[in-house]
Amino acid sequence: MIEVRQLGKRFGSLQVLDNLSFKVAQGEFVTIFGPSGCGKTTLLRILATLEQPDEGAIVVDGVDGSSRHEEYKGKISVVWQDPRLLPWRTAVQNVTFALEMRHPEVSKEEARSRANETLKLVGLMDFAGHLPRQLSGGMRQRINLARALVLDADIMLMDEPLSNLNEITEKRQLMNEIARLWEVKRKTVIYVTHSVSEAVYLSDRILVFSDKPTTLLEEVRVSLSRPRNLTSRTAEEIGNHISELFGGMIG
Amino acid sequence: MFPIRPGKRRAWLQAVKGMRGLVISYAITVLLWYGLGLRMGPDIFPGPLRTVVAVGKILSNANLTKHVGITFGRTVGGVILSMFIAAVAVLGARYWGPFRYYFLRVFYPAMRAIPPVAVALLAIVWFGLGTGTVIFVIVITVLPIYMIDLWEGLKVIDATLVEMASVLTSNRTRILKKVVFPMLVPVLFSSTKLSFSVAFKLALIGELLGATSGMGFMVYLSQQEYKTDMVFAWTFLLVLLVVFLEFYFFDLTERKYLYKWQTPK
Repeated sequence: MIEVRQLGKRFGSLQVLDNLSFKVAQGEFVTIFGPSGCGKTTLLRILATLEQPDEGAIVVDGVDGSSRHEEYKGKISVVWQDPRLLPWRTAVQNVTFALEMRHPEVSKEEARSRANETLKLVGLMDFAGHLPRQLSGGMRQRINLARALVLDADIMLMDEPLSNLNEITEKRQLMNEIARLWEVKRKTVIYVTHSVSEAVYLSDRILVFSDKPTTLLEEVRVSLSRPRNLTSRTAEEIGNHISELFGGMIG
Repeated sequence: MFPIRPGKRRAWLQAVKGMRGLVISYAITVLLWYGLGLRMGPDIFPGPLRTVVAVGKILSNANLTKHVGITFGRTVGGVILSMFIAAVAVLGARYWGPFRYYFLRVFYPAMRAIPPVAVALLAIVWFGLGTGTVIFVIVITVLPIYMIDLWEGLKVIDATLVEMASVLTSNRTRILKKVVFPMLVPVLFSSTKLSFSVAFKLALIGELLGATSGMGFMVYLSQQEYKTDMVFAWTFLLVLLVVFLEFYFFDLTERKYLYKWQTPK
């Protein structure tokens, strides 16, 4: 269980997050939705320990992120907006990198075997020996995903992982992949996006944020069976409702 | 004899054509050298033939050849020590605030300003004649090259990769070793390439003033005995060594290993 308690963050005179509180249950897929620049990524960076909040706290299974930093860090993995792969390492080495950094006690053979399994899971086993520059944007993003998955952390934080991908060929494919992997792994996911279709397709619950200072505008529960059909009437109704919260200016 | 197939002949001809520029450049240099030798006389400016004979004398005498190895060893030692000290100083300045001010305002400017000859004379007083003095001269002069390159290199490394790693671990040493250091390898490589050519010259000055062995000392000895052809031969050997390292060893290593992960431009 993740508990965000009265979180506040300001950069100079700009109040980015204000008195933000919500809970995420174990194994739940929750999307943080809001317009561009509303503070979604700041929230994710606080959750990932890259920023310190000015007020409030984040507690994961009783572990306070600020006081028990290392224990908290061990519970999270991050899928970045840009893949952030090490260009001198091959696909499989980029995945083992996560284990080398967080679990140096894992042997090289064990790390390699776990990385290979994860690459298989994201459909990139045949490209294990390729360098990032030899792969497409979608493939690189899958390695980014595999690097987070291989840690087997309880919580996955995803920061707009589809935003840099080609809409027709890569975005849909990876969106399906994320949905499939979540069903296999059942990790707690906090997914940040400003795309209504991604939010409706992937989430159990959507937390709609207002623009600065970011507060929780509405919680939308998505009770649709999986795999989801975005053209179904209910999916469209949810999508339209969320868009209308921003006067139809977002979606 | 086997006849050369047309395809092979074409490849051979193309290789020769590719070498043409290089051969012409070397030929012009040798001709100029030869002309100067004729004009100024062998005692003042020995020609290429005389120098080659002197080089042959050095290479065929183990007692003389060992001085090449001594200079090479001192140069490598000085460069490696400079790299190590610069890495510690720069990382210290980058990640430890109080040292940063001292590094930027005192240490680095002082290192750049110190003249190598003064250092060599002082080193003789401190370390006596020998390897210590030569390595000290190299370190003091080569250190700023590494320091400025590493300092600037740290500024332009991909911070998003460091951030990605810092979510995985809080262990700074691990991040330095697995993320920061690999990103600095190209910087270190180019500094090393430059440092080697500078360090060889410094080794020669250091040995000339403060050692009883090495190529610099042999140059000094030859000059004292008015053997100008031997001074030329030692200098020629040093030039060969630097050219070999720079154009063959470093360039080949760079092409083969260093940038293979980068997108070809």
